[in-house]
Amino acid sequence: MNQRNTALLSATMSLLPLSAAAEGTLGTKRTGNIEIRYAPYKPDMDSQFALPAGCEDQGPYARFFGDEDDGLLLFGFQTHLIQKYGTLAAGGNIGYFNVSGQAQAGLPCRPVGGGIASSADLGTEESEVDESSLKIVPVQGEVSYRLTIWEDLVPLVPVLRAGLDYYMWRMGSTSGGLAKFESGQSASGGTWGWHYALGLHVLLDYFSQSMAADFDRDAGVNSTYLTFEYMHAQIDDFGSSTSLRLGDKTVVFGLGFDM
Amino acid sequence: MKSTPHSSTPRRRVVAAVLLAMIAAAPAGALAAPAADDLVVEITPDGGKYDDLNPIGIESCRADLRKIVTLRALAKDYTAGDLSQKYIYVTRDKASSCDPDILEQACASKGTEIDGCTCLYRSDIDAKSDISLENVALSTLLPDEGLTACDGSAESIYRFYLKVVPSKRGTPAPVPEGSAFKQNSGAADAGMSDATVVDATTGGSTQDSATPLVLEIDLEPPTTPDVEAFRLLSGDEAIEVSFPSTDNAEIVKYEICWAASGLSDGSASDGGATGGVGAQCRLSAGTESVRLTADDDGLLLERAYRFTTAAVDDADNRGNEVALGTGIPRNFLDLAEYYRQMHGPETGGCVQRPGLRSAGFGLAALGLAVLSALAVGRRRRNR
Repeated sequence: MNQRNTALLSATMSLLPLSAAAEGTLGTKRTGNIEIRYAPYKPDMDSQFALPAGCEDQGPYARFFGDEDDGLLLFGFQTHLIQKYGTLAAGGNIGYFNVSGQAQAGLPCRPVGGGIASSADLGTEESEVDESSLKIVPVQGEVSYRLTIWEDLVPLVPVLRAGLDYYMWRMGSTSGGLAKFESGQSASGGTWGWHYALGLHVLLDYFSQSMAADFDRDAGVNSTYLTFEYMHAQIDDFGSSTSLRLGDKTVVFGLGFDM
Repeated sequence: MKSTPHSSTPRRRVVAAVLLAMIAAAPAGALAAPAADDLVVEITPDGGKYDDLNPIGIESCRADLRKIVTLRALAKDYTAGDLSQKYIYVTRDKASSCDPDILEQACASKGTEIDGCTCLYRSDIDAKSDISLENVALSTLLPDEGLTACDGSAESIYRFYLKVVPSKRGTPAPVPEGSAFKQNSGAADAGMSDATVVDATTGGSTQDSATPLVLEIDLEPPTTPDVEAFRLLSGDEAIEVSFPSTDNAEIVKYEICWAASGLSDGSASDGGATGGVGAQCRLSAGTESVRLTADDDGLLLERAYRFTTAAVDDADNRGNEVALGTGIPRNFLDLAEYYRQMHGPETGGCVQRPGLRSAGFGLAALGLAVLSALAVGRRRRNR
């Protein structure tokens, strides 16, 4: 999935008319920006299990939800701090992720002693009607730097982000309620972590300045960007060995609006 | 087999329940009190109470149709002193009330069914007085001899009506037929010719009970469901029986029965579940799927059960039983249970693989956040 998105990013970049003439930045003074972004996402939950050969796909996440990425939606807001040498901004993101899969009959790979051994006699059956779910609400505080000083000439803006993360998570039971690890221990909580992202933002104003001017006048949107970023999120309570791991390395794309 | 249009109001399975509920609504002193075991059926001109079908199925046919009832017709909203003819009659498989001429013929022939109409009672009486047909077996009122034994296989709908034909206001009494009569009474009296009165009791407006009491006697069981369309689905400590979507309005629910198969692999399936020892059954709510659980229905985990089903119609007739197969309730794990059994560290279990020691990255990110906060604060102070 990540490779596919990277290829998509490259293809999109190659289509940009870089030779088009730039006529300067449009609009009024910028004070902040909002972003709506989407990322293929698969929590790194299974990485904490040393699964032996033949059991690689039997980690909890893979067993319930498969090996494919699902969608993480992010909404962000940042305020601009410095705009002299590009744009330095600080803000945050909040997201939503929900995935569900069929309840499982047993452990094909049963933990034995300190490790996990394959056991073919344990069930691989899954329920036909009951599901279990995992919900994650990531909250990110971050600073970003965007190299905007040449965007009037070339509508490509390199971006660097970094920040602190707190991922709230919740596991759903087969009855639809909150699952429990054991009696009285609810399967919900939060995991701290950090992230960084590198990417390119494409200034859409460059391609239709009159439309951009109208958007600025009518809605106060100074500039609009198509965003492509590679994000590495390490969500494991800063290396804790006792926390649910929810990080991922993925490509994030979306729309950004300078206000 | 007939498909009956279903109203949105709740249907009563057994007519006795409906009839008993009506006893309390009888006006005090209107009639002599019926015997303690009697049921009283009221038919009123304005209807309203009997707009539901009251289905009677095979099993309830004998019991319900032998009940002794008092059929009471209440004529309301007429001026005292007016005379009237009142009828209680029953139609079979007719969507509307009887034509007056047909009804007259039926009453004259004393209970013979004519064109779907059977006259049960006729009386000339004060318009405000009630009439009643007391202490009769319900089956004797129905113009179908086969119903006495409830062994037919047909389905019929009977509607009981009250018909009131008031005399013309101010007319003191019915004039005997054949009496000399002076025409030009000033009223539109019907049936008069020359100077001879053919029927002097007519006058005013005729009123049938707007909504009859309806009995649907259904002695035909529903068709056998297509077993291929049913599915036994495995749930967490449960078996869910899913039903086919059907446009057969006759089938209103399914009866699901189950019994332990006796073998752990569920291979023994000789005969239906209801014939087995310890078989249990449950009715579905409508044609929604039924979920049978260990907690609510006593299923034992990892034990094979044979399941059968039968269609049930709105008269509680039960169709042929068909086998659905074998299901084994199992304990399925949700994500949290699976994670715990894998000894996931969040649950206090042993970690299998150490995490990336990334405290340095975290501190760097934290430093960036602090610097940002300071920058924001400084910017605000400079404003």
